[in-house]
Amino acid sequence: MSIRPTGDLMRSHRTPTTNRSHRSHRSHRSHRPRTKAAGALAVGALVLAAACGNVYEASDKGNGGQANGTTGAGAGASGGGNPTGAVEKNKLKQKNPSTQPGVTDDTIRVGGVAATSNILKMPVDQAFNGVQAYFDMVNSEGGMYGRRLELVSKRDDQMFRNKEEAQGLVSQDNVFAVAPVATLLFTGAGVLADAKIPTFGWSINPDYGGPPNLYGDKGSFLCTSCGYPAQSFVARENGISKVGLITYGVDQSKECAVGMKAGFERHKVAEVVFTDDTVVFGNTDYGVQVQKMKAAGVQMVVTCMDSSGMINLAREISKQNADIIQYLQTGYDYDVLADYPKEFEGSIIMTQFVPLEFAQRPTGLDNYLKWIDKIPGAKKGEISLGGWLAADMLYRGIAMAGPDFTREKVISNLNQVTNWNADGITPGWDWTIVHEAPMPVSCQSFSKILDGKFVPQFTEPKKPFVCFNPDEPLPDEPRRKAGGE
Amino acid sequence: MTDLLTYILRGLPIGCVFGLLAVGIVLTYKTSGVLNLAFGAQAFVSGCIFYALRSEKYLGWGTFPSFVVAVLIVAPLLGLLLDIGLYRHLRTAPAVAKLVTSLGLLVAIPQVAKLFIGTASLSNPPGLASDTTVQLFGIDLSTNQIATMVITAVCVGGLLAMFRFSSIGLHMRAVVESPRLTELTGVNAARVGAISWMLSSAFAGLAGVLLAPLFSQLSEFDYFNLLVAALAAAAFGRLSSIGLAAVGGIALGVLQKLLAGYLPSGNVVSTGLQGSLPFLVLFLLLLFWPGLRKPREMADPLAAVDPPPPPPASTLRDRRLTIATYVLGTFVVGCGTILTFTTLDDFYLAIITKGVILSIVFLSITLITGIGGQLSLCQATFCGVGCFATAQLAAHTGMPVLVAAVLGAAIAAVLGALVALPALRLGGVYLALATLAFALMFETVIMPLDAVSGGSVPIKVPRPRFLGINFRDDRRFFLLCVASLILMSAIVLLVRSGTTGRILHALRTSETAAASIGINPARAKITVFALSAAIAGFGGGMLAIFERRVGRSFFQADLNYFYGLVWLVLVVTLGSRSISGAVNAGLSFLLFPRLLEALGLSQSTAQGVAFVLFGLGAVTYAKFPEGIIESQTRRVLLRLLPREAAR
Repeated sequence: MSIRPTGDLMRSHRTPTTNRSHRSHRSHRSHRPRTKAAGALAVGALVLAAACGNVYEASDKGNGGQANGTTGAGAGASGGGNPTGAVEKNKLKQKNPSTQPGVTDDTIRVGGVAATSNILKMPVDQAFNGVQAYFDMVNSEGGMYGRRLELVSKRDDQMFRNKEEAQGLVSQDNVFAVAPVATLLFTGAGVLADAKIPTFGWSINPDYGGPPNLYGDKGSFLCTSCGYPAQSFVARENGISKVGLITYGVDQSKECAVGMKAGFERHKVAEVVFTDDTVVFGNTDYGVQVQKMKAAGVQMVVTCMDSSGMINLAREISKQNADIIQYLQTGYDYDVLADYPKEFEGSIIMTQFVPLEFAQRPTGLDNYLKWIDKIPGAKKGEISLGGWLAADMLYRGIAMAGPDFTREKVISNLNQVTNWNADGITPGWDWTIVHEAPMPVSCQSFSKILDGKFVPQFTEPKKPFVCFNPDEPLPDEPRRKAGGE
Repeated sequence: MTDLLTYILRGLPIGCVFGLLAVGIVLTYKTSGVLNLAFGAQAFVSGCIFYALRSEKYLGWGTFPSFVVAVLIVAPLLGLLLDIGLYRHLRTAPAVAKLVTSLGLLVAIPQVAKLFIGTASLSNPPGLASDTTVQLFGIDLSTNQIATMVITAVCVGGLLAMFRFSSIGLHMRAVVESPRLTELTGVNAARVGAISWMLSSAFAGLAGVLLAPLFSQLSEFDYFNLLVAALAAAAFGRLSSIGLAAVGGIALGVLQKLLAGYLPSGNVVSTGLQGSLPFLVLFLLLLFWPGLRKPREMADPLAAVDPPPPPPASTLRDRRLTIATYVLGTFVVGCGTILTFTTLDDFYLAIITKGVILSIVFLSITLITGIGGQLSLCQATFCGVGCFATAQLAAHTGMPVLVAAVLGAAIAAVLGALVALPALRLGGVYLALATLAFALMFETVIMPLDAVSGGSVPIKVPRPRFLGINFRDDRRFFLLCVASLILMSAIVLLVRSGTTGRILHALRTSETAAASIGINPARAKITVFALSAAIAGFGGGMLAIFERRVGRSFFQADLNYFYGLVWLVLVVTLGSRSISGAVNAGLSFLLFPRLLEALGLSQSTAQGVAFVLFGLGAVTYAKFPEGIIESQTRRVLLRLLPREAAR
């Protein structure tokens, strides 16, 4: 046996050719075989191309809504006469044997995924605490159909591994349902949709829209460009006549600005005098934007940005001592407020749940505040409340499905609920609509940041939500309502 | 005051930040010959330490002691550690080897820091000064911004003076040129090198602390993004002029504000130009800035006194050993495929399928880096191009998705050739920087376009039917992926052993010598760039088919530029010159963190530890350019054949 330089090394001494005649001779010699080879390759490619086709999933072609037969009256639906998903607790005591995945003799296993270690450092793992608090409440009352609800899996998708973790929930954790999904990217939506597993989460991603088994706490269909009248109403009530719009230079953010601008133009309450839809994601310095807004007389700025962008903008507004408030569509976060009370002073935040500071709290919110305090390390706020709402949907779905509950029954029953409000926490979502379209009437609640606290605005006794029909002119006195009313 | 003047003044603070970072990069390069891409990571570490010490949420120390510990103690110690542990041994190594080492550190250092910090939010970072606002020439600036400007001015002046007037400055430059020659004059090269690293690392620490108040919370990605802008400024300074680098940084900051002030809103050019300005400037400077056209590689004139290095182990091969390797490889692949197909659950099936697809993508790194000798940092981008091209073609034309994947590969190849064309004049680290700039431009400006990534709702991608076989089933699709990997491996092997491979081998050995015997380097480089882009693009197409839904979030999650860097680091660690290196890297990328989880680590810790090990593996590149695993394997095999090897 001998060790010798590889062919590569040996051949590199011989070739490439060292003189022109040799090269041209070689080139001439190899010309015809190369032509033939190219021809053969082309013919082969054509044959292979002809042998190719596509295979579509049922949910690939349509919008998913009815594609797999889990919505509507099929699969043992019985929720048609229960618009809010109300639960008769005395009926939860019956225990029947079950062969459903994730259901044992004494537990209903549930798993969740959150971007616990995300690069934005958002405390999204608080959604687990919300689910756990809800399960503790249910289990303290005897559980469901003779079984305890158990959160057996808390996966961390680290923001970038959502699909893998979703697959893990489906095929490794033996869970009946998925709750919560509290992730910044939801690339695993397809996996969960295809597995037809009931899935409930904190919805900030458009990926929830479509599949009938994915449920977001704000409805599954997120319409960023709808141009709701809410911000015009806020402007009017605050005596604001000039507004600014700032978005990132990416389409999703810009779509939001288009919707906002359309809303202002339609209701003619305030004029959009400054727009910047070219901000780079990750931008830290809004000096020029604030300077221009000051010059244009902007009184309120509407942003379609993440919390980091909102904070940096607020810091610059504060630094330039500009008399501009922000209209925030996300960010009901006590930690951010504690860090930047001065910067956000006077800003308005819109939520689609009853603010925790609302005086006449609905039952659902009282329960949340009572049980979330019992979880070590839990923080009150939008995200843990999102987990609570996810658990509430699951609970109602199982309850409506009856003692012989299955995944299909849970989905089909929930999809007939027309006013899900979690005992008054949300305005009321119609699951026959909001998988694929927005609610015809949109309801929100508003809080103003004053002295470092969220202070509910525009409310009436027991009625925290303000409702608008996007197709109608802005009313002088919009309808107020309680959650689920 | 006119708008123009206020925009210029507003650009100064952020420009000083760019300048400060650029000066730090130039300082490192001047004093160590290393284009330190881990500079941002070092800055991040000091930023974190300062935060932990200063913030009331943690220790709540005063500003001065926190500054002393973070910038004057920890940062220099980190520099000393890097010098003693790594860069001292790389002083005369090729620039590309140093760059790969710094890439490994870029990946590893923040992960080490995060293992200590955990997942807690480091929000509202404090600065050196208070955050009160003062008026300067009619505009409002925070005292932190003023401090940044003052410190930048002092540092630039101090460094210029040190290099011009002090003996240590002269010694630092001399040690970079030739440590041996310097030692002949009685200077302790090791000590001077250590001082250089401690100084530059302290500079990184200073930048990290000064930068912190810019962000709403500390994140290593923010530091790296600013570093790219700083690289443009450093390129303006030709990586050698501290003054020009500072001026370049300030100019870039001012230019950003002028664009923000004057460009109209609501048009594509404005969005694109603002988003890509630092990357565009870096790209253009690399291509056209006279000082960078003929980069000077550091080479010790006394290097010849060393015995020649032993040939890479992979160039010594016994025929029977090669045959045995192929037989064993075939056996392992065959058994692995059968086991995966028959026994694994859907979770691991999905992971391994994706690992196989990533192996295809990593073959593109084998081709361009292992065989072509070029360092491309945009292979993830080409993968993304293939991915979205496949998805769009299949979704909008109804084209068979496998044909779409091939066309996607062709589109990626064209793009690869277009990137290679202007970058031909560059080599080594400059080519790497140009490809990084391209990757960031694509991610920031091109990928978000609806026409590319399909808008906010992901594009649905069908599974293929081929020769009458339906690949909707995940297990069948896994087999298709394995077949594709074998096909792509065969193509890479053919290229390696064919004319192109031999030309590339000759170019890698000596471009001048190769040109003297009639080889056209430009054509060879374009060919290898295009081919590697095509393979990455085809891998991207397979990834799209595997995922079934692809959109912006998928790109951000799986194909972002940072993952592209990790991929490169991993492949060069495990073997950039062999097919097995790419396959090992593809599978390790996904399976290794799972293995660590199985050993009891939490998910985030496991991922962090994996990245640390991947990164630290790359620092061995200079010593084992064929990959540490490949090298050790060969070493063991050679030990088994001592007599023949000796002969």
